[in-house]
Amino acid sequence: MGSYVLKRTGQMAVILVIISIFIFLLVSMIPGDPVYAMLGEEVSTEEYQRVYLELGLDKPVMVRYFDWLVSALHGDFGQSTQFHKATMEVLSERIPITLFLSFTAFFISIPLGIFFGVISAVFRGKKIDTVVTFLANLTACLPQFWVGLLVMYVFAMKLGWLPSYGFTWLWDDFSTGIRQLILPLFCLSLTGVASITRQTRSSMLEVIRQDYVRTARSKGLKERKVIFVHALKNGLIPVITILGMRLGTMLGGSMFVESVFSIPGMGSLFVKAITSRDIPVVQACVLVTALVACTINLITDILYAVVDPRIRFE
Amino acid sequence: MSGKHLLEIKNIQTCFKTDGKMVRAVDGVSMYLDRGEIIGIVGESGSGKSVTMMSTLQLISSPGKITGGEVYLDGNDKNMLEYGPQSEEMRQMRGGKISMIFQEPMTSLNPVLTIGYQIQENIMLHLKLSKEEAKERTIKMLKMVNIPDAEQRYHYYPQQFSGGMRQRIMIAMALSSEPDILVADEATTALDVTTQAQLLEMIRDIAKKTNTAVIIVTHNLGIVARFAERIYVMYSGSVVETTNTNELFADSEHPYTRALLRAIPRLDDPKDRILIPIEGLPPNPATRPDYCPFYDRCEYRMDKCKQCKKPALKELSPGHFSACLLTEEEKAAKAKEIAAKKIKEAPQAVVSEESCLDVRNVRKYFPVYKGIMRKKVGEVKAIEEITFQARKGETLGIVGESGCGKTTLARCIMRVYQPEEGEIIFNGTDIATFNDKQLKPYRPKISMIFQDPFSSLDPRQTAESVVGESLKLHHLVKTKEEYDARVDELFRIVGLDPALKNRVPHEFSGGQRQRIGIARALSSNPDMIICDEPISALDVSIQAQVINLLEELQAKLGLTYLFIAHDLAVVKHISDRILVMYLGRVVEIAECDELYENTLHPYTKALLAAVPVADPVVEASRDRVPIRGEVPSLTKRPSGCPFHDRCDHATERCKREVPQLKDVGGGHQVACFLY
Amino acid sequence: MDKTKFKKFIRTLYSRKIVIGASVVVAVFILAAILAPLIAPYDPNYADFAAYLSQPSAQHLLGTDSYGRDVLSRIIYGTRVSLIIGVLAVCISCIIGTFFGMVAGYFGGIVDDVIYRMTEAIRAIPQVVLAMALTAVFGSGIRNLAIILGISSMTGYVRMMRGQVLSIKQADYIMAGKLQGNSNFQLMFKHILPNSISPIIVMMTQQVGSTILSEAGLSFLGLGISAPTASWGSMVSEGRMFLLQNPVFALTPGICVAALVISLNMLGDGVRDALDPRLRGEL
Repeated sequence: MGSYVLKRTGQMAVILVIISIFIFLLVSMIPGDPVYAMLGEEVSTEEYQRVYLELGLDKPVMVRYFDWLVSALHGDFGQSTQFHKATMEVLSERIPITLFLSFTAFFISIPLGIFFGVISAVFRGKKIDTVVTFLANLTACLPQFWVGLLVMYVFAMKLGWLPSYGFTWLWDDFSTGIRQLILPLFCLSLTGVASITRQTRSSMLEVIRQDYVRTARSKGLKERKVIFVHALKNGLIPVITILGMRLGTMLGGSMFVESVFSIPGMGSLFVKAITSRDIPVVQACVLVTALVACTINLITDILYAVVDPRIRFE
Repeated sequence: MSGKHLLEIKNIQTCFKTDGKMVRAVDGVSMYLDRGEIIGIVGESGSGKSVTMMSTLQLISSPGKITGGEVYLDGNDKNMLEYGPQSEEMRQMRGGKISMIFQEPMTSLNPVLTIGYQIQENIMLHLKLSKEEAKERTIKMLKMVNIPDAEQRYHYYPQQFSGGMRQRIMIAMALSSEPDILVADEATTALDVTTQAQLLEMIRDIAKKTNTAVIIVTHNLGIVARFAERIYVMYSGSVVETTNTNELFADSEHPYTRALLRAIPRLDDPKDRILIPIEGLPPNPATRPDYCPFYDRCEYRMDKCKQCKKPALKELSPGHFSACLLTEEEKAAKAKEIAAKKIKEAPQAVVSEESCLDVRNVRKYFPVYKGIMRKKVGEVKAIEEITFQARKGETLGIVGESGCGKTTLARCIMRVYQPEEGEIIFNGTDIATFNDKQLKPYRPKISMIFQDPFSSLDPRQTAESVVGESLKLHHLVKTKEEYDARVDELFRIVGLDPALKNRVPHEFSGGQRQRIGIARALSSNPDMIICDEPISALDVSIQAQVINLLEELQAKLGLTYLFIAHDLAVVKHISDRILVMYLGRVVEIAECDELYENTLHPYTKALLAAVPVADPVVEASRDRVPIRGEVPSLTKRPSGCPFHDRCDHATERCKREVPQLKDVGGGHQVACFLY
Repeated sequence: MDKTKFKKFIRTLYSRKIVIGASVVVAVFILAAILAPLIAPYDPNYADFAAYLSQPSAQHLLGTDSYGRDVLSRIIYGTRVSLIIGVLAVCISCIIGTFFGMVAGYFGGIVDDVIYRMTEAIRAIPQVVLAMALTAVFGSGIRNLAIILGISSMTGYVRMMRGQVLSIKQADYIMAGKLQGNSNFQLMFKHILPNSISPIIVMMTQQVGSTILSEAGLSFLGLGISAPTASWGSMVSEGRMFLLQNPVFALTPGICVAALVISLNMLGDGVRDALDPRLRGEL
């Protein structure tokens, strides 16, 4: 088990290094002169020289990557070109908001998705299965931003029950915070629930026809026990493996939800940074998301090993 | 009107819905079982033997459906099939009264629950014991099936055990609830032959001690001959014959049973025994006719068989039933007719003195990598010091259980693997170190026939391009006409109609696919063919067809065969000499009859003794050679003689030194210090 | 696939009513895209400032946008953008991904290690985030978006194809092919690729929908198709400002995205079931 965790951590480190190379190379891939791209065409020669040297463009690419990585590891991604502040300073208030939204939606959708998936698999072919499967398939196809606008139109604008924008930390103002959270979280969780439901259902159906489930039935166990003791644990294993990916989609979805509900998170900053070619911010955003996604992947991998003795005793 | 039988099944019928049609998999099967009795149900795949047992326990799941029949338990008047599959009564019967062991030991236990939990659960459910008592009994059961360190192993998961061990655990679980009946559904088919013998003997011993009745469901006539007291023979969803074991083998009545016994090779066969294959294929249950399902393949058939409905079981002598329309006189007359028919003589292959393949001291190791950096931490010694010779026109049989390295050896000779050391001299040239380019002229000269007729043919290729591929690759034909002519010829050689050549593999039956595989092997005019378990995936009634074809081709084309198999009876039937392997080493090489009559190596003795012979009289007179333990994994190979830890004759020397092959006269070589 | 098999495929595919329905919807969208200039009532870029944000009426069935452009016409033209990007991106990711997956699975060893680690790294970045970051590099526009979305969903093919090859490689017919003297190239393209076609097709049909969804998302964020070209995502983005005054303007393009994607996915599921019943999550 210990060596398994170690191995996984090592693999994650390798992946992060590769990602950091990708991200670093983003700058060099941008067509045209990076200094012009950052400062615009009408820049003075001195200014150009200063930035050129500051970016280290005179040094070989390997050295530049290494310098960049070292400072990035210290939280220094350089100056944001649009805010003229240190990138981390710009990001530090926004990252927690995005993470809070994503994780909350993540933890809402796991139990709901598993619940609906199991129900639907157990009652396969019955009315409830048809309804759940239909709804899951439907919601998986709805554009998140559109769902956001729809619920905003209905619940905020027409009915006026909930605010249509903004974000307040719960400890600053609990009731406002909660009311502002409901719609964004609903949107963000919806697709999560749908895909976890579908995954759980197909995985449970797969497990139900396995030999060991037949063995359990041949022992004369009650069907309830067959499903919840013998099938469920096996059925959840593949679901756990995709949970890591799910958080990634939550982080991605957060970009839309933040945009729709004007939440000052990382997403809206990221969009702005892309349109204004604020490369340090883009790099920092991608790296932070990847880091979070990788960490969650690592955790689910470990969780996976805890649930599945086949991994533990390899 | 149920009698005093422990279990009585009456006219059970089960259908499967496929493509909107109802296919009757079990078509009215009746059988009974008395307390403490061991019965056998034999039949080929698709005969409905497993489905019958699953239907009895109502374990059939959608799209299958039990459409009729009665099941009476313990002399009760209540038809068990009237209870729903989830009813209290049915669940008490399942696991409580009747326990079942399934074929696949690797998938039949739940991988995420400890074996202790899985057994204990069964005990608590049916014997109503407390958790502690159940645990105690679980450990007792594990000890009973010879699981060492039962107290610790209680907490283990299934994947920490070998296949044989898992099947022992299944047996322990099945017997833990003190059932009246144990159903072993092909329970040992996936296991090695020595393990199979150990387990079946253990089941029999325990059953006799506890007065448990046993139903052995199998396709292996040898197993029922050795273990069963009474036998039901099934064919295409029906029982065609039933009687006690001795009578069935000595005096079989149904043409199918008779044909089957003529078609299967036996370990005690004389060298010139001719197998008489059953022509044709078992009917597809979806298109099964109303008349006798065996009609199309039956040597005894008469016009009336086709006009009447499927015959019912008829009592011919007390307890002996057969489902055939023919009267005794008609059958006797037909039997005389068949006996008078000239049997095609066994083709005689000419073995020359010239060597075709000379393997000297071949070793193959596989590296073991570990960690993120893929550091090499060790090696698995798959085969070591393999030395043997095969002469032109000879069939050399290679036998051994799983992990003995027979497939690795074949792949080294085919040069799929590069051996670490040694020479592979083929037709006078050492090809052991050749690279792909150097090998190219030799590739067509060595062909291979594979085990699985389903995975050995590309599902997207037509039969024609399968057979013709190497003609094109090696430019063996010049024109399109020549190509077509050669492909047609190859089809005819293996007994297939060339008109079928545009079909894709899944449109052929298993036997036909194997013929295509043989045609492919022949296409490049090889000198030697390596047959890797070529018939073990086929039904018993088809096996004889393929064996005969291989023998014929050898005589006609002067081929050399390396015949790899785990089924000793088949190997003995087809081979001139046999090479026995154990854990990567050759332990004995001898002429066929010499090996059987003058077995030297203790492992070969145990192996031969473990193979059941399809004749209860012979079985009764055979010596039992008990064998300890199971084949260890290659990574845990003992030092010295690889067999020493399971051998009763092992001495200190066996633990230290590896015995070398030595000739004890007449080309009989053995690697053992006893000789 | 020969003729009888194709016929059987079509028969199984259309044995389910829902697949027929989905096909009809998809066909309507495709026709709309092709025939856009013929069926669109107005020029999609013609701005009639007098008809600023008008409600649905007989003249403008779905009303007009903030520049007075006809929403229905813009939606019809938007179909083109969605479908073109969807199909192009699928082709790009399928070709590149299948190739890398096949090479990785077939050769194994260091080649596999490099390709597989790279794939895992790309997969670790959420797809939307990756696509957004790539727009910073490639810029927007139909061609660039197709490339971006193609690259960012390529990893699915690499993984699937690698798994396919690893399992097909075990089959005896590959060894038989090798022993007969086929080269690596011949084995890959003659034996392995044809046997992986079904899962590739299934993956492609399922990916078209998700690509269209991503395109709409990027355009909504202002990173995809930019004005004045009509695209569903950017129309929603323009309309959100006027959600209260004219909800039809903002919400209809979203309904189109959903309808097209749902139909494509159902068609994809149907194709999967008809091609290979084993892939189906039931039985």
